[in-house]
Amino acid sequence: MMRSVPELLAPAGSLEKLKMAINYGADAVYLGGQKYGLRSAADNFTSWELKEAVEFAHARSALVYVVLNSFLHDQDFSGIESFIRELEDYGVDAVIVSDLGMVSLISSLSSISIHLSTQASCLSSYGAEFWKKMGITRVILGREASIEEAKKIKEKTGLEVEMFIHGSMCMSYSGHCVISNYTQGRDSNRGGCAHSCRFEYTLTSEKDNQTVTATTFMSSKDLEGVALIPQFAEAGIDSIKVEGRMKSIHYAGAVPKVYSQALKEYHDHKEIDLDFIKWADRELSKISHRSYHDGNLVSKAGEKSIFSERENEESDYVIVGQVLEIAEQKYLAIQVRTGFKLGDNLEIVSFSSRENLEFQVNEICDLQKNLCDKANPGTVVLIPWLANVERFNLIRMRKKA
Amino acid sequence: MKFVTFLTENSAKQESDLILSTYELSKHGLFSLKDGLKLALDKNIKVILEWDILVTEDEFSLIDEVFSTLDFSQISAIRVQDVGALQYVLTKTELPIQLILESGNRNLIGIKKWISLVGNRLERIILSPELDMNELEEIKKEVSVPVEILIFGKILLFYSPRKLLTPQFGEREEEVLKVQGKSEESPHRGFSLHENRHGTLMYNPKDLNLFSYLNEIEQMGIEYCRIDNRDFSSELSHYFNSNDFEALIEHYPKTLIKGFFHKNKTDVLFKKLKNQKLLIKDQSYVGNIVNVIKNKQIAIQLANKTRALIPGDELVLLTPEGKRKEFTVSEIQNISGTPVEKTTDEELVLIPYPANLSIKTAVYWKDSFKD
Repeated sequence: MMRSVPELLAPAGSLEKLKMAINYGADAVYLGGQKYGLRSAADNFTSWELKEAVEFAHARSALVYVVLNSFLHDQDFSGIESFIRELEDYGVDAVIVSDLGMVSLISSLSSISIHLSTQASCLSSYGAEFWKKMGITRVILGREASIEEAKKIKEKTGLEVEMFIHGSMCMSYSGHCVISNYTQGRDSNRGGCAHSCRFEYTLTSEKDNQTVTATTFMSSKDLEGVALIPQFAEAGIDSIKVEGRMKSIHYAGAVPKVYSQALKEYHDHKEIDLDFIKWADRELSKISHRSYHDGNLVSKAGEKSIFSERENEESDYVIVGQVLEIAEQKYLAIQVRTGFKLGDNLEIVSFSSRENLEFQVNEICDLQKNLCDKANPGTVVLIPWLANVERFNLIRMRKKA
Repeated sequence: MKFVTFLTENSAKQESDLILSTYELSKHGLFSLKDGLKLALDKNIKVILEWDILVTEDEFSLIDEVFSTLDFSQISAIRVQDVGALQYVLTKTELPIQLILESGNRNLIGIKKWISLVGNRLERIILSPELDMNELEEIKKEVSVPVEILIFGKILLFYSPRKLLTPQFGEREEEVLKVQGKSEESPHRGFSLHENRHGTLMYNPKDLNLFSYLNEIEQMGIEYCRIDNRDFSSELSHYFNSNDFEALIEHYPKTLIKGFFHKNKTDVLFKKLKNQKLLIKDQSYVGNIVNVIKNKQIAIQLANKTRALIPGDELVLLTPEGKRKEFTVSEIQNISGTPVEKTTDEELVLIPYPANLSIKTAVYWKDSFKD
């Protein structure tokens, strides 16, 4: 399908996060089953949840891609045939694969579309041409490729091209890091990455013994590309991808919202103006993140792309919870993740409007309608009904000093 | 079985296959292409040209420059890792190809596919150090193309195109900036780090040594064993060139390990990465407990749209700690307190407090629950 703007592809680490991403504007989501993916610590999806996920997404015109991007050893293929057939039965729109063995197996078992994972480090039209012969319909380029290079790859091969636009970045070429394998006994390319690149190191030059202490020299800043949406669109990039199946529910919803608004802005006005970028920057700063950088999207990532802090993610806001239920225009039932109290100013993150609803809490009740002074994490409380609030809206508040 | 080494000033083993590792095309180059080819010419040997860097679309213009001046008569074969490089070599040269399958490529089905795709120009495959001896044996039984593995030398852990060391140490004149690294957050020390024109490489503190397995490797039928001699001193080169492997190991400056050759168990910890008790999500799943008012009520966020919850249903409750309790629903209310006879999809419902429970307890219909 020809699109005037790229598809917005968001991570879904769980069924709850999938619904959040789609409600907040993702055109497509990617998720993992219990095996064969690269995020062993994520909740991931059981077969029953996968079916639910596809039904939920398709009912809202969103697509579902399933990641099978581990580098598998022979014994890891156990059960794969039935899993592939299950994906096809459920109507999964594509699978994301990095291993030629897996590509070969899927091609022989089904007609499901195959997208080449970024793990395969496809960086050129030469590489893409090779994979095209294997039946790949879309290449997810390595994060070392620029938008201009992606444009050339698309033009030369005719393949769909997908690029990361937001989220954490491997400092290594993806698929070319085995630090966890040797230092932690966990295969980073089968889902066990221990994020050793985020550690602090002491470095000593062999030539002159110059020493640098406590440096996070191999930790990358996060990717952020809102202002580059026009370049992505004009280059004909088919899909822009948000990283982060392990990220929070706040991230799962609020990041797709910003990018979906940006795509809408570009679609409507053929540009993204400075006011919009300022809004997007404000919104993205509310979500936990490392410092942002545009990676290799425009030019080669240099010194400024290095995140010079230990894992100390920044955000101005904290997620308070989500609206679980709206009761007869009387109450909103809030699932509380961070406690709040009477008088606090909260913000409800709208699904479709750029503007969010800000309000002050003037009443809190427990589920038995007893008045409370505060809402504790891990509870569900009632607050008075507010117009234009929808089920599953996120609620957040500015961090207290 | 033959040894494969890298061309160095000290190269002497006539029976070795020699790899030319260059600044232009290798992650860990030893010479400029020009100087390397001159050295090979001086020694009157043909070399295997190594191209193991990854290359982006625009960087291929530099590759075009390199290849436009290359004297192919001195090159017996070329070894590539990047799929783009493979395609380039297939279409723009007639050189025999040695395919580096060291990153990823841990299964027979994929390896066999690579072999069939490259076709009769493929003269060797280089397999991953992540494969253990049983896996290597199984693969070797099934493939007729000669196989090479690394048996001695540095283990590459990390390869980034970004220059990560000069921001710390400033620009240097040398081709390779070499640094030792350690982290308080890892029990491992002595990571060797190199930065060159292609980015940054990080090596394991301990090097691989499979000399003690040479018999097993030979019995498997593996044709080529690579010794990474690029950092050998002249003393170590002498021991190697005179087949004195014991002396080589004895004088080797770094600790040596067997890597994953005996057994690769890097997936056994995965089950510990998340709570297996919370993984049952099937047609028996009702939803999760999201609120508990002790001795009064619990709230369940329903999650199953294929079946309604009704009074009289028998439920199984599975706590995050794995404790199982059973319970029959006597009544259901919505959050307004109105009794509900039959629930709807994703509703938040209140039921009487059944027992000492916490939030995140998963709720199932007993008649279809299988644990």
